[in-house]
Amino acid sequence: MDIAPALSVEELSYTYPGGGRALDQVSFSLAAGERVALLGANGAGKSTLLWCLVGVLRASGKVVVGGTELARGAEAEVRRKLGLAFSEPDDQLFMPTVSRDLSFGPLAAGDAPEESLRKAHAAAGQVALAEDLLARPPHELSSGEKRRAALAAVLALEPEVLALDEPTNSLDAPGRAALAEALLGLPCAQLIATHNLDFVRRLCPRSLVLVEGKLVADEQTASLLLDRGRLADYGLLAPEKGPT
Amino acid sequence: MIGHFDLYMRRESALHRMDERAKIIALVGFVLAALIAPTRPVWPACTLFGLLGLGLVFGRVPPLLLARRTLLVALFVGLPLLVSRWGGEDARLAAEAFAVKSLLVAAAFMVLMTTTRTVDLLDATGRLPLLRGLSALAQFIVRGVNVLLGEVVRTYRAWALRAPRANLQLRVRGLAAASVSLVGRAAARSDRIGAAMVLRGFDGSLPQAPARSPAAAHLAIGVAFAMLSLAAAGIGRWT
Ligand SMILES: Nc1ncnc2c1ncn2[C@@H]1O[C@H](COP(=O)(O)OP(=O)(O)O)[C@@H](O)[C@H]1O
Ligand SMILES: [Mg+2]
Repeated sequence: MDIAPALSVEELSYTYPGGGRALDQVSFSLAAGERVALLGANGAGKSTLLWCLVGVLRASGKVVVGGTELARGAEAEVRRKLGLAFSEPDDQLFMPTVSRDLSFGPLAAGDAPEESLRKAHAAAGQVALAEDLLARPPHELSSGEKRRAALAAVLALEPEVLALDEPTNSLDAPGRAALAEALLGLPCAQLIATHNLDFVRRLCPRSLVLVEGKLVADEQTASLLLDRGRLADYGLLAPEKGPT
Repeated sequence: MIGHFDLYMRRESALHRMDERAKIIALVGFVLAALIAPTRPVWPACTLFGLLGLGLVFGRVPPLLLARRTLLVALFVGLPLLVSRWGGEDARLAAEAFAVKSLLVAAAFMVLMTTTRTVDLLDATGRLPLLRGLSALAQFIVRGVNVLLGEVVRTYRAWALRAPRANLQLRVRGLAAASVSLVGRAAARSDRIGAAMVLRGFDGSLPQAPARSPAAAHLAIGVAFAMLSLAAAGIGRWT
């Protein structure tokens, strides 16, 4: 008895117009509720992969989210099931106040105003965003607060799969710890793109590694993190200098 | 926070807490009154200045701040006043009336903008029939302008910090160069914001947030304020 994966990706390839190949035949899958790290140096193709999962970039290959295949006409459904938190929260908050922003997704999905507001507040609670911040315009938040607000905006849609692009950017140590805590408490499957090894150490039992658009590793995080030589090869550690 | 465009000043005051719709009613009445109020005899205009003073007190608006913000208007009305000195008695009276009315109107707007967040103001206007679509658009524009303004300021600061001793000419050139790169950045940014909207189900229509109904007491105060202004102006003019 095989349980359907929350996300399955087969032979995904993408080439930027006028650029090099950013993704090359990437395949993997996530079980329901599984938390997986997507590791890679700057420019390895992590963001490109996430944009392809929601169909903003049109890649060749196959993406299936919660039983729905990403194809023309099915984008809206895939996007409801897979929420993407951008690397830059300022790009993600577009409504005049935070609470409007959080309830935007549910309202657009056809929820009644009261229900959308309830979902917005629930999502804010999940990321420990203080209630009094909800009435403010996004530009009055600190970077850390924006980060959490943008995440809550995605969570308000109650996705089955959550994809996060560099979620630790602009967070201080307590901020990172609070985010880790929040992610641990979420029931959805999570794909966390980052180059921050400390962050995934306790969060993600499994790691994928991208190098120049190719998936070069899919294994237990614990064993990967012990292999410093390989981490350096992947561009995840500064190369070790021997005494000369 | 750098670069944002809002006259609102966060404060704890009765006027800050008052329902925006009631404040708009009061403002509309006050502006109408200011327009019809005569300047001779002087008591109707003085009454209106008195009512404006109430707004300052209950909104805890610092008078100096208000003065600074209406300075631009003062320049505008100062010139006709000055010029009218060489005209006849009629010209002087007309210039004086123009000055009084503009100051009253401008100051009243400033009191409203200082005690009400732009977002809430637009929201309240959006609940008036006819203005709904317009206000939704305006809200997007306000957010858009803030994002852009932030970008302008950041770009310019980044530039200025790397050229701390630049003279005015260099500064102007830097600003020009920064605005060119800004166009590219703004395009990329609006691209991503567009993606954010589509990813969360935006299909061209803006969902409206639930409305609160205004408290009767607030409405009553707003209407009373409007009636009082209009009464003073009307009695002064037609008796
Ligand atoms: N809009 C673009 N046009 C052309 N090439 C791009 C574009 N965006 C990213 N790339 C290139 O694609 C590769 C992968 O980028 P990206 O997915 O952003 O990497 P990561 O998120 O892992 O840092 C990089 O070599 C980058 O230069
Ligand atoms: Mg990236």
